Amino acid sequence: MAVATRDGGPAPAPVAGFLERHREQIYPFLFVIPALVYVSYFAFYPMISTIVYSFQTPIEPFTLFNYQSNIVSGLYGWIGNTLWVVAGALALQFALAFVIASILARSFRGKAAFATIALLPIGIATVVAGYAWSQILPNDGTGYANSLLSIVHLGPYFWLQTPSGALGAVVVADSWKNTSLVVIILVAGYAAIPRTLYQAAALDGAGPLRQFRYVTLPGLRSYIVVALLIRGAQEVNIFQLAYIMIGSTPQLLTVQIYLLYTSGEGIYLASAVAAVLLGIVGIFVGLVLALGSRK
Amino acid sequence: MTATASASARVDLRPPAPINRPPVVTAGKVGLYATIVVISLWLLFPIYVIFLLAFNETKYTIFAARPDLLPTHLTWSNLVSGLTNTAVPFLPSMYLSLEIAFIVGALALAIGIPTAYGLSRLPTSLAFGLTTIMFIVNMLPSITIAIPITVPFIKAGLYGSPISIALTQELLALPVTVFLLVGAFQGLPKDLENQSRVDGAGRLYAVFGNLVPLIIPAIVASFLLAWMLSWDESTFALILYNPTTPTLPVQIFLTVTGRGNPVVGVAFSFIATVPVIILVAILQKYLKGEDLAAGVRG
Amino acid sequence: MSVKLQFDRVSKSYGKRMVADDISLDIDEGEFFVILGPSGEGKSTLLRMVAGIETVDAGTIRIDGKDVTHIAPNKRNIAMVFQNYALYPNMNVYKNIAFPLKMQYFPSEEIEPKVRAVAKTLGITEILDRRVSQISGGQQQRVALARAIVRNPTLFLLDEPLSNLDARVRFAARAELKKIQKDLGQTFLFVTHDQKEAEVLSDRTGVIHLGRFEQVAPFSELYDHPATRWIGDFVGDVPMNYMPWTERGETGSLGFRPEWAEVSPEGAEAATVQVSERVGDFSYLLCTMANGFRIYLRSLRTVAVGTEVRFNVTRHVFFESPAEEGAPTMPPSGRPERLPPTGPH
Repeated sequence: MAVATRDGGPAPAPVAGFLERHREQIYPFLFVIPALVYVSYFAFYPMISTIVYSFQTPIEPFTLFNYQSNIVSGLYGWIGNTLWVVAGALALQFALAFVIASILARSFRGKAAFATIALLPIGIATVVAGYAWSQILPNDGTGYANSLLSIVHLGPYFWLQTPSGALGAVVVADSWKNTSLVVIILVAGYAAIPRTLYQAAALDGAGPLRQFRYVTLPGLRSYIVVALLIRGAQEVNIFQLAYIMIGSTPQLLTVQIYLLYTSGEGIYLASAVAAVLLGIVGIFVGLVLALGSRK
Repeated sequence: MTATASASARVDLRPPAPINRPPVVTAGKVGLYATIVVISLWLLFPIYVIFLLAFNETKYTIFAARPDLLPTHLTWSNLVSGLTNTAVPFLPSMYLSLEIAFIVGALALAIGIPTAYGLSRLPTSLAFGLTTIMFIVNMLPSITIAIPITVPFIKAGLYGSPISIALTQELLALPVTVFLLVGAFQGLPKDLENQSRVDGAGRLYAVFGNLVPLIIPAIVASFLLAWMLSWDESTFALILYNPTTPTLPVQIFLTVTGRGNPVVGVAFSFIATVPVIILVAILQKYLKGEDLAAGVRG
Repeated sequence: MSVKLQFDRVSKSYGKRMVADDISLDIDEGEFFVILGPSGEGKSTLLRMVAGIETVDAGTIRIDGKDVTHIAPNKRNIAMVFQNYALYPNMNVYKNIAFPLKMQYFPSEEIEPKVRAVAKTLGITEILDRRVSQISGGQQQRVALARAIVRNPTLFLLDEPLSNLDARVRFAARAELKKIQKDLGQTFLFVTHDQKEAEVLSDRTGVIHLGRFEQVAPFSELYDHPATRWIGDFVGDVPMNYMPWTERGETGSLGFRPEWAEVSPEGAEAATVQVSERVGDFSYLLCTMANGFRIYLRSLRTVAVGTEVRFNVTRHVFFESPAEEGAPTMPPSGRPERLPPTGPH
């Protein structure tokens, strides 16, 4: 029903009026809708499906069987192995990335070449990196690492013989592949720290270590949070690299999901492990955000 | 305290080392370059190994107890036999990988350009929320999405098709594209679009006729980045592949995890690596942390 | 003379901040109208609402009597010059000027003479082939103006088009702009925070404050007969002086400008000089009166600090609001920088 305005003419319907008043805000939103539809269907809908499937079997609409069965098969061990790799790889990547980024924050001859080299591993496909590293650190006492060590009369080593050796090899290979991304983000962070802060800190008597602690780290804080979020989430997701290098001993969550899915046990058992994986990513993101936003 | 120190010590601001103690500087430089060399060797060694595997005779690489560290026995035979292997056909896989990568790149622009424009114009709070959603998408584990998404693809008869793989790989490419392009749109003068509209252009023309041509370098970079992410991607491609023709990375994965001739893995790995190494060198200046970081810092 | 542009009870707010509070205003055909106000008072928003790139919360905007409140910007046939000129960086000067014609589907053989004609008028024929990044700020301003003029719009919106020019160029550009408007005979709506621009350019000036026009009048009237004390303070080199006053039985304040007071030994009022500052031919004297009021006076001679001066108020305006001790008040924010500093040196 039309409401009379001051002029006595019919007013636009309230909804139309709202749309008209906010036309300049609503219009750009229209441009975002295709992406929202796309990620809803291809990311969030499957994510929820995974959780739903994890509580189902072909005959039961709701059951804990998938979880119980996976626990019996060794779910806790897979979680432990995954966390081991995540923690190790993040520690190694960040240590390396800090060194590389702090070098790239300076100016020196050959910087452009070094910057390119530092980025190259991004372009190497994960499966190719996995294959190269499986030739560097194989289990049978051969491989390029042993060739190198034989120059100084060491080895041969059977790198993957113990579970921690195998997981360590994965950590090393994964860090090689993914340090570059952390470097990219930290370099942006270094660029945002005013040089004068370092001069002031130096005048106040801070050495390199204390400059790192009191100038670099606080300045890089938000960049570190971003890098941790991106890398941490992808680290939990580590799959082909590990599978190519060490197969399923010791077992990671992702590899187990793949094997359950391809072994014909169907998507229900696999979904339970996948849901656990999602949970770990969620907890990790929550932790990083909570720590990162703390003042 | 800082202020007092810098005010009173203005004379001492010059770095003391260069004139008085040149040896210290040299030692610092030597240390710097030594570190750079060690890190460069660490970063380059596996790529060098890929090269050795491709061009050294196999009895000095994969079949050697002590693989040769130098390219002493160069040969084309690995590449030739790997690429002409009839059991694992190379060309169809490469065409498929190329096709999918181009679809992913094109989709990244088709969805990413409007999205980035929208995000750059929306009120900050709303844009932050939507950017966060894109960021979450970027963090979701591929394998947890790949498995349930097979169900609708099977129903739609798309399972194993190039488009199905491209649509899932887009999840990796789209957030990166959007972050990169939002930065590009935000870098444009604010009133350009308004000027265009006042000058008589319609809204769509103002965006696509006036703004988009100004960010073509960023658009090309986004396309190449999306292309590269797809070219290297293997989780979605592995879960969704059509058994007669997998993509290159999936062929490599299947070969090196125990099926087929290892020389195939060697040859495919090398071929798959060459274009992306070139791309990384080209894209270097667009691989920037600011865009990624802006996503969460708001 | 007919009404060209009409604001009819127009309101606009950003959250709780009102930038236009029930504004009604008629601007005549061929008028050079200046919207004057401190920064952040929503002057540009008014202009943007006329252009259609900003929405209106309530009320109506009419151009030539036609309601355009909800019409798209490209359908309004108005030209706008933005503060930063918003030249298309991927086009050369010629293409920038030709763009509005191209958008109206003029054939290129008709576009060229029009572009050349307007370029000639503005003296930018030589730079038509240059990229916009290769020309000076003054030239950019001319190109922006040329692009506005080229398709013969009847309403021009200009958002601080002179503020990005350096002082020397700005002076010439200001005079030229006035001449262009007179030659075109079209309506100009011009936004600025610089009262000198309003003084030189405008037929009428509207002073905007807190989302309302405090006063709409020829600039000289704003100066001579400010409607409110806020305007008295905002317009002029220094704030107005105020004293308690009763006029026709009404208690309020008497306002007078420094130049409305005559300093002479026979003056009826007395004040002690606190600060004296030479500005050109005369000195501004910040003085304290015996009743504690602080006032500005103007003297041709330099007067030593601490001296008592006598003066007569020869002209004044009356405000109903009472004067407070300690006036002149602090200048409103965004006030032109020509105010002499009041603190000790």
